[in-house]
Amino acid sequence: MPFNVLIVDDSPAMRSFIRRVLDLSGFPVGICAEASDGQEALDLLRGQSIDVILTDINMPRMDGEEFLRRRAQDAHMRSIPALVISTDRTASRVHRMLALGASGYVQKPFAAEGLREELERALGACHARG
Amino acid sequence: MREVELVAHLRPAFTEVLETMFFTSVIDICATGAAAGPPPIISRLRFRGDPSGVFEIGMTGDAARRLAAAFLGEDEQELSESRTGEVVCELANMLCGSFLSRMGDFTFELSHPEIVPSNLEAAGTSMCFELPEGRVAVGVRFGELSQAHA
Repeated sequence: MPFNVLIVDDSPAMRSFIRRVLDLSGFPVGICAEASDGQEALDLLRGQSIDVILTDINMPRMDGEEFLRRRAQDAHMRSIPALVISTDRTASRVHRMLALGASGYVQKPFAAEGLREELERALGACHARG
Repeated sequence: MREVELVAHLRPAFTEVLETMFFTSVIDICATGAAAGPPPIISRLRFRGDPSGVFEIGMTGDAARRLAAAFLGEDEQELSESRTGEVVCELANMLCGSFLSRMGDFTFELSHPEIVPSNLEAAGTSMCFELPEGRVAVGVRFGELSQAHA
């Protein structure tokens, strides 16, 4: 079953790379939507069926932390697993993002296999809960 | 932190990012002087935390296009200057984050990387990496920057 993925990143190059890596990994992708910041992602989530979110942290207008905070306030959005993708691998940052409701944390640089494993783990945990 | 320790963190950060996300590898470490002449493409970002500072990378236009093509999986002849610049900025962002994360567990904020029209003059410690795609110079300096470099 293909999954609808939302990529949230202010870098068009990184969004393209994530699309490429998803393809290389063999992860079954249906719709691959993109947003360049947290606000755009929230707007998109209100109107589109998304199965999993991949989000950056440092973004203009609304960053990844605020995006996760707002997502947590909405019952529907909260049910969609969200993986954080970031260069920041410090324990304090990872803990903060997980505390805000992130389902996982993928550190850059990452390989296709690693991203797929994290996606499957997050979606599996989500379905197990649901 | 001494320069030798900085270099010890820069090298594995560079190797990891290039091998994992640009599907290439470091051939050699070259003297920074080997990158003589102003590199045409330089990306700079500032990091704030404890410590704060500036991080830069520089490379020729050809090297930038080749690396961008490897990252995006696209034909380098088809890549626009702006698209290439986006990838150079993303490389700077990932290298800086990977480098800082190796220095210890402190929280930092990275500014948005920008293409800047100058030499790697803000760098206090620098290294030059030889790749199949060309040479990439990396520089880092700790401390707040003056307005001229900010």
